Amino acid sequence: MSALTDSRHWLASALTDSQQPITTPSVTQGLQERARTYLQDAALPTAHEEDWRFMTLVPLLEHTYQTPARAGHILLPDISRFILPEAEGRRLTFVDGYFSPELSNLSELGSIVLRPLGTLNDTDGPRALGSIAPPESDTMTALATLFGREGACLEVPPGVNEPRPIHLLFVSSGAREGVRIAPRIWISTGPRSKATVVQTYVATHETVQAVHAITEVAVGEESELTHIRVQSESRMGCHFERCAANLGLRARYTLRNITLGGRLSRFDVSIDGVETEMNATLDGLALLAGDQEADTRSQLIHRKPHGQSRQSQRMILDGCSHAVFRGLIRVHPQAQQTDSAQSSRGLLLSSDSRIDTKPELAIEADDVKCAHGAAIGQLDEEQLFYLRARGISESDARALLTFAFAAEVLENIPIHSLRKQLQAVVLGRTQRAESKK
Amino acid sequence: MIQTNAPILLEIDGLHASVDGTPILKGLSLVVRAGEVHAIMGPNGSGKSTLSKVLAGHPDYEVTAGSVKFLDRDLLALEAEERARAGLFLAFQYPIEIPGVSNAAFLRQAYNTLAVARGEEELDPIEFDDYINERIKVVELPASFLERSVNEGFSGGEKKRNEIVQMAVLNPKVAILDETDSGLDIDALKTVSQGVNQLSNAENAIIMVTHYQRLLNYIVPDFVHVMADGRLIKTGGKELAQELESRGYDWLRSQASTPGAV
Repeated sequence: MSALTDSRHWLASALTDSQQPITTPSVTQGLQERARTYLQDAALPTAHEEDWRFMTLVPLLEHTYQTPARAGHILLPDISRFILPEAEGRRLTFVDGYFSPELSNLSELGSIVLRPLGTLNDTDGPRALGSIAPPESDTMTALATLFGREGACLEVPPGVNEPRPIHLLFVSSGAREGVRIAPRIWISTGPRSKATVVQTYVATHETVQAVHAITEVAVGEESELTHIRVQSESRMGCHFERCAANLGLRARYTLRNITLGGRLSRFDVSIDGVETEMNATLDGLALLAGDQEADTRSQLIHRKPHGQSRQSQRMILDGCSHAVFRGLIRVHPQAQQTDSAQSSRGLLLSSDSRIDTKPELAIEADDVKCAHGAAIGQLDEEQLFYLRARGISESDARALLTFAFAAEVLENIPIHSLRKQLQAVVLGRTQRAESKK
Repeated sequence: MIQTNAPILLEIDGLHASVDGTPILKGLSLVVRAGEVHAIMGPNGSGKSTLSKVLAGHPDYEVTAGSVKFLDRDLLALEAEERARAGLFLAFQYPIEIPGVSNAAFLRQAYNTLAVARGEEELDPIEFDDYINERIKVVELPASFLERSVNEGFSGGEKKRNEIVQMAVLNPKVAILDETDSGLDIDALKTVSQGVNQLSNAENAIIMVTHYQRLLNYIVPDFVHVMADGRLIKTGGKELAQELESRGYDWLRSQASTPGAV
């Protein structure tokens, strides 16, 4: 019962904090009212709910959080290692939830429209804001909506083909403990456009914090969007994100999601093919150690015929970390000739780590191809022996094989500097994991 | 080539080994000198592949008796990687696929590990690139295979050629070729054999483990040993292989009263 009391108390105090007189973008005020109404009768999710069966909110409830009155003091050199040279001139930076003009560089946007939400007014913002991930979706989405103070609004006009990536950078300064940050991100691509967006969450200091994010994506007719999300926040913090994408006619959407940070993190993603011939790719890599817990919940929804989707989830766990993957593929009756494949693979590097994986297929059409597979294991002994038989030490062989397990996802990251950055992180983690033994 | 006073590279004496408690090797003895090419032949289940794995240090096999000296060191006291660094090489019967590890990176790491063990300079990626492009010519492996993951999606013949490329890169003192001929068509067999012959010299030795005599037409052995029930029961020259080809193994088993013949 005490867990329930804690949870109620936490929610009540969170709702009070959200009434503090801190400016709210006018464009989201209506959504926030809806969220507040929804939350009046809502409770935080518990393990009794199927969606939260494998993960508890305890690490979140152990602390109280407040929206900071201002951003921590961060200078460009503090974040230089997070900057992507390929995206220079197309970077929107936020510190502790606040837009930072000093750390942003919007000098090479061309016809792309990239603005902080706080600068938009009611008539200026995307009309569909809040319609792809409505506040009433669930408690966590409502909370993120209510807490929201700022965010990014990216609009790629029709026909624009931008080969250079656009970077949305969210920095946590760690200046204070118990900071609550709630960014809202809108990304839309017009018909026949093409763009690449990188969304990274980073921390300059390790501290207790809570991030509640909402990302809405509208991929226009025959347009192509590559979306890379990297969450490498404080290993003491919590991160909850709802990411919802709608795919138009013949739209192509690729989402590559890398989870490295967070004491507790949850990424709840849905990709909804509302028109025919959707094409979606959803890759995930979670690299966890210590007491980290990461939950990935995905829904790939085929509503119309001739859609294709590919999903691959990889998890590498050390220490007493815990990963959850629940992937639903839904094929509606109309979505004939859907071609869908899902695979999830987990690698347990320690005896105390744990993976819960649950592929789900809900197929209501009869002429479809849906493949799925899940495997959890340790490093392959025959592969280890093969490498050792060539003189490579057992610890190097383990690190090499662990790196190889992650490589498939990392190799597909189309931005050189980011790929190298991530490969170095993974390599550092795999070698450190070995040196303990 | 046989030189009676050449240094002994490998000396196996009364080797017993088991896997999961089942004895497979039951007192096997063999002496290999520099410059020699040995063939170990025998029917399925005679313990040929076990011998290869035991010598390479596979953790699933337990040595219960006997000794193995390799270049005056106690081979059985060494870990698999230490054996490789000391100059022992096993060409696998079934080379392992390692998705996500590029062949070039793997070969370079293996080369540099051995170079350090020998007190030689490591090669950086550019230097190694020159070196490896020279070495792959030994078995005519296209350079494109270097960029692919180790053995992943390779045909049977390509995997076997990749094993010989590794042998060429690592330059071992003793190479054990475990059923290197299996799964090869005649052209691939010739290519692989020519590669091995190029790598064979007066300083090193080769032990071919094979079921069939076919390979021995291309890599001519100095000694042919017949293995049965975990021991070498007969030793002869290359003509013994031809006799085995025409008469099979049964006549030997019935007269196997000469245990441990070396």
